[in-house]
Amino acid sequence: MVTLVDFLFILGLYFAAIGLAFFFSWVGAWVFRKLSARLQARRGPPLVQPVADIIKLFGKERFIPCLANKFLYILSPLVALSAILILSFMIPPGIPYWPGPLSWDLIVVLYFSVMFSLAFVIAGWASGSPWGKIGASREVAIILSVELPLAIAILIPPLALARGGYGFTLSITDVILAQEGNFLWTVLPNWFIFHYPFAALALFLALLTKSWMRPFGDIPEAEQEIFAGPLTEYGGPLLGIFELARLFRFYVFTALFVDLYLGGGSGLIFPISILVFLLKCLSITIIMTIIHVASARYRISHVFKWFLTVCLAFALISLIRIVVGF
Amino acid sequence: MGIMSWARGKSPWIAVLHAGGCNNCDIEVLDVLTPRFDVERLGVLWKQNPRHADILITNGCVSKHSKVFVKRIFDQMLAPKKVIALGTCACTGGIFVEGEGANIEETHTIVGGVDTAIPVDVYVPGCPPKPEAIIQGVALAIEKLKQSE
Repeated sequence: MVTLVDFLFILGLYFAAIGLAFFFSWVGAWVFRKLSARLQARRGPPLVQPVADIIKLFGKERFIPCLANKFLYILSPLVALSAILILSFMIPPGIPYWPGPLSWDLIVVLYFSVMFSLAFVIAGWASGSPWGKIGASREVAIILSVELPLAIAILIPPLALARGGYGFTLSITDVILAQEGNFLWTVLPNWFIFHYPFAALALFLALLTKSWMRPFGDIPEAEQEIFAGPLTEYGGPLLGIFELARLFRFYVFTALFVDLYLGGGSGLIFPISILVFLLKCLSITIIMTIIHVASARYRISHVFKWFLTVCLAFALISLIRIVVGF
Repeated sequence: MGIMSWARGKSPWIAVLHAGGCNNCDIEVLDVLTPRFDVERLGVLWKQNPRHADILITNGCVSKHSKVFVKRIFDQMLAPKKVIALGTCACTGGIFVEGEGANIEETHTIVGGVDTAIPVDVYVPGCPPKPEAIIQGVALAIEKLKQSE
């Protein structure tokens, strides 16, 4: 029986989770832009920059192109934002997460991470612009190639737990709890990245691509070729909602990787565990930024080739190891 | 001076439009993105997309052919929007028109400066203007953006 107090408590918790996600993605987005600038020997924008961009966009003129499908044009930013908000409170911030370990976290995460990408496809098609349609078709190609290695790599830790006798679970909290302690004569922490490095690499590359970073990720919005891709015809508040959704991905996708493969908060006590978790997220963001700045953009056919051969092979190696029990 | 005015001043996104002419200003604009001048510290982002942009930098004189496209691209931008005329050609027509001062006449191909097609907020003369002058022009346009409704 859920009382009103319980309901308010859950609501407060969700708002706290979203607040943490927003704050961290703000910092992550700033680190991304500042570090990109510093790596190119530039000065870079101030800390307020990501938020100033979004506030400015909400103050611009409202606009719907005459060729657009009005319903889908307005709906798709809302789909993107709600999907990423649901993700940002379904993925626990490195700690055992109240209201308890749900046994289907990872299914929700998989589903809404696809929803987030699909929102951009809808946006591109609904906006009625040829650039938007090219961008949408590229986004579809990326979804088709990335999702299979991503799904396998996300499901490796729970499958490994089931193999190891923990019982079958699809909860991220259980995965975090299982990564406490050490292994290999207590040299290494008991993180899944050391148990299944290939699957971790596959997940890292997939998340890099899903967060629109080079070498693969920015193909849909390749600004030298197709302006802003799916978002070409967007402007004003609707673009602001998209930018807000894209801000959250700096938290969501790094947090997913840290929770599944880098041990979350590593079993420390409460306030320290969240700090450790955020530091891990930040270091993943920094690695992603360095890869983004250092690499050029691949062609869309290379994405198919890379993800459906190399990354899929990485993920399958770990899957076969689990099935064989090695 | 509300929060919206502050945000507009902090995040001007820029599109560059080359209306016609010798391409020199077009290349000079790219200098302000280099590490020496780095306009991203002012929040300027390079959006070659008029829908996303707040400030349109036009360079080159407007020809009879490009006038309709300059107008169309200006109309594609969302309010509040500001226009910078960059270079002497964009300010007056430069060497491509006949006459001088207020008596500029259009030739058989060239109409004149950018202000013959769209309203201009900031004029940055020079052939080409130095990057410092371009940054000053952008800063003046940012001041106008802050005051806009």
